[in-house]
Amino acid sequence: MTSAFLVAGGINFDVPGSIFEVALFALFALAAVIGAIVVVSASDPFVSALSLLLNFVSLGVLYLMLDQPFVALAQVLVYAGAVVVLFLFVIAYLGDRREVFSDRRRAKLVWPFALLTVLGLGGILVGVIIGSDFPDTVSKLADTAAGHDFGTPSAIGETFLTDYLLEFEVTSLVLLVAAIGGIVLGLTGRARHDRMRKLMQTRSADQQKAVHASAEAELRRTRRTAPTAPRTDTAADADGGKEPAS
Amino acid sequence: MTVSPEWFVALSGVLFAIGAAGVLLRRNALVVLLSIEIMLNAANLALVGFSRVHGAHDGQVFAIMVMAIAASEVVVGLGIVVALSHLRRELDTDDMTELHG
Amino acid sequence: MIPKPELQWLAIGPELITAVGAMLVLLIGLGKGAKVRGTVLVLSLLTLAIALGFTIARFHVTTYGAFNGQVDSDELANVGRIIALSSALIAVVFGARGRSDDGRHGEFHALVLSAVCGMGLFVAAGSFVSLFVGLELFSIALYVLCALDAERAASLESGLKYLILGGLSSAILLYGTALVYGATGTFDIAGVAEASHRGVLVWTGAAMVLGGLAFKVSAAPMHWWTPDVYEGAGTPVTAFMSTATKSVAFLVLARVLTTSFAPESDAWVPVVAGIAVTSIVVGNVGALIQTHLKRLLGYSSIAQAGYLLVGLVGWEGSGIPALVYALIVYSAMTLGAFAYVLVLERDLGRDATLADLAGRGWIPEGRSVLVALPAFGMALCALSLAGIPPTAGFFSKFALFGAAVDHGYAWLAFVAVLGSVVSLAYYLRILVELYMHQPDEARAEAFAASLPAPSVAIDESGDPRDEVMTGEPSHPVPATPVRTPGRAPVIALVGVLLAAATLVLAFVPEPVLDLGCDAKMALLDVGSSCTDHQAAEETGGSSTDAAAASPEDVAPVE
Repeated sequence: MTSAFLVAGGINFDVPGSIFEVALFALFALAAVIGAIVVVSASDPFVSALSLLLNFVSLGVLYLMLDQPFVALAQVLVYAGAVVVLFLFVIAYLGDRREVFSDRRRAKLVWPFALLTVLGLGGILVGVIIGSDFPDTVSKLADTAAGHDFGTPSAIGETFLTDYLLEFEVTSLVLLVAAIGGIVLGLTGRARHDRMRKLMQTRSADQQKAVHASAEAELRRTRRTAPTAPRTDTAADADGGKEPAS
Repeated sequence: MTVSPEWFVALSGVLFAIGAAGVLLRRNALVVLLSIEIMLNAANLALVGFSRVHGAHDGQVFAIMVMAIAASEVVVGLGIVVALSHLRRELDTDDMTELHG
Repeated sequence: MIPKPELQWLAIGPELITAVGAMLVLLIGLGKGAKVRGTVLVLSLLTLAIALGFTIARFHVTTYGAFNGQVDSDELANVGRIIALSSALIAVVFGARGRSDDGRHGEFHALVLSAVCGMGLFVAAGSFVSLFVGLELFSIALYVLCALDAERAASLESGLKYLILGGLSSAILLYGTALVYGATGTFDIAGVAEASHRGVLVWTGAAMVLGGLAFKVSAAPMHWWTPDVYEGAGTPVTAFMSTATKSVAFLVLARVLTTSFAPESDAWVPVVAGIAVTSIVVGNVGALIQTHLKRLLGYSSIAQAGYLLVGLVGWEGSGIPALVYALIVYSAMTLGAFAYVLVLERDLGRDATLADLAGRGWIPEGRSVLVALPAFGMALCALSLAGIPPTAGFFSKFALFGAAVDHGYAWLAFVAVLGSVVSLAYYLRILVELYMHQPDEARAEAFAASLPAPSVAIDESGDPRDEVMTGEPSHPVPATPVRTPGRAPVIALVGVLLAAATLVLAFVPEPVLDLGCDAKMALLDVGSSCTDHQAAEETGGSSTDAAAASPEDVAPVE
């Protein structure tokens, strides 16, 4: 199969036959696999995130080879441009803390299992895929229903806004939920952080002791009020239904 | 010899397995999140490859939606990791002493 | 010229209502103060009630192939919506006072409403695309809800754990969908069954879809997140998650397996039976050694997932009506149990253990009978979960196991009954604590000390930073992680009502069984075999009928 996109870019691999195409596939497939392996095996998350970039970009090229320039573009923009950068930001923000635990304890035990998982699951999947005959493998784009429009932004836009309109809308709701989550979690984290810093700044030992003492008093108070016997003040007072004054 | 879409799908199987190994075996929350991304990408490659096999756009459209959804998941995941890092200095999912499970 | 898509808005009415409600709640929640807090709560309850009313009013209005084939709104979907909406309604009541007073009231409610919206779309999905998008919508909302509740590490960690394992299961589900798409060329759930080209690719895809959904119903071996997440998340969220998520995931599992993969049923029925056995064993054995109440309920919910899967094995006979009945009963009794756990937590100001139940069943001198009523409700729910005869739990198990026996899986029913007998050990422990033990402060203290993370932990020798982050001693407002002990009369009342519901469901099962029959007819189009009220106890007679009904019969009917 040929890639209209690459041909348009001046690369014409119709002439040297498909060998060029096979080489291209092999190169980027290898890059994707190596990228994935490094992501999984690197001890430093920073290295992992960077090799994820390699994996994503290689996949982008593979999408181009599948005649799907729009998905390739989205892949590079969304994944490489947004997701990986987000990861890198967080890793940079965490600084040293990212490496506090880097699987050294398990390293020796783990590798046989890792190999087994990869070989087992991968073997099954690849075997199934290679072993099954596809209904009607279309190799020439002109023969397909989509024809020459295949993979163009306009064709994808049309499918998106007709058949998949509902999902398109719901995806926006998913993004809204994620935004709420990001904000709420960020604020929660900040609030805790501030509280911690405040206590760290109360340098005098007396002050710290006072803080601890009051916390302990609170603890004792809750413990004492809780398990007294026999239970008289369980929540049954549907008739008296006052909210407790702690 | 030509490159047929099945090759791409087979490659996606390999990537999926690598990602699964990462999720199951690594204990660093960040790396686990990255491994999940690899798995979702592998699924995307399969969708796109099959979309090419069938000559239909459904697979590609689904793949683009998966990208948006995966990004949302990352946002929430990293949000929790950052909030947690304020709380503990370790991001080790194995060391979660609060939940012994 | 782009053709205009068919937009049947009424088919996704409940989802529209909840989505709009979520955004309104979010906007109004930006304000501060007690007034805003009350408004948000009322608005959120109102939204859920309206959506519930809408669903019930249009229960029998089915729309297939809405939105160009993305939505199949039928009775099965409506059953799922009703369970999800009621469960959310109760969870919102549970969570009404539990959230902190820091001016962020809107988020909790907006997330619950978004989750319900996603669940509705998920259970009414007509294609694997809307199924996945709906799944992710409610999953992501739940990840945040798990992490959000209470400012303690356990909550954040449970959120992270749920997110990681949920992400794994989503990826598996997605890859399975991709394989099915590759083999059949369609994402349509009914369309997959019609594809002539089947084979190992569809099998693998079906297995991966089953694996991904098994995670959501917390069936073994995809269960291991359940106890930790149940324990770590706030109790209102846990109650919502354990009932709504599980129910809609079960209904979708039933839909997908009996429509898309009906031709492969010979292959998946034994697999489902195997998962059921594993879940029953893992759940019951795990629950035996638990002292933390929420963990115990977590393991119990794994075992319950096993029983529910037993019903799915008999899908061609009375399995689907039994499943619907059992899901509703399960939701009622689980929510009832969590209501009492929450009452207990509010009372103690910390997580509740088995020992905390000691002697709470007694009526103290000079007090009205009402005082002991919540504990009695808990006892009823425990009996129902165990499947003791006068409760609905017994009838639901009877119906589920009967469906499996009709389908030739007597051994499976035997294993399930054996599992129920084992489960008596821990459910009866709840009753023993409630009614036969004296409250013993020292013992309760010892149990509490064994808690993994007392939310008020003050560790003298520990890192001072940890203390600071678990308590805010300087100004102990209710927002602090040191939970203030108190009473929760409304929650107790809800718990008692739910416990009463399990009794009502036991003696008046017909309306619910009718729902199940409708759902089954929507799925399998079996005609009149499901109209009489004894369908759940029906014997093999109907299974031939169902087998004859091919999935092609589920034709788009507008």
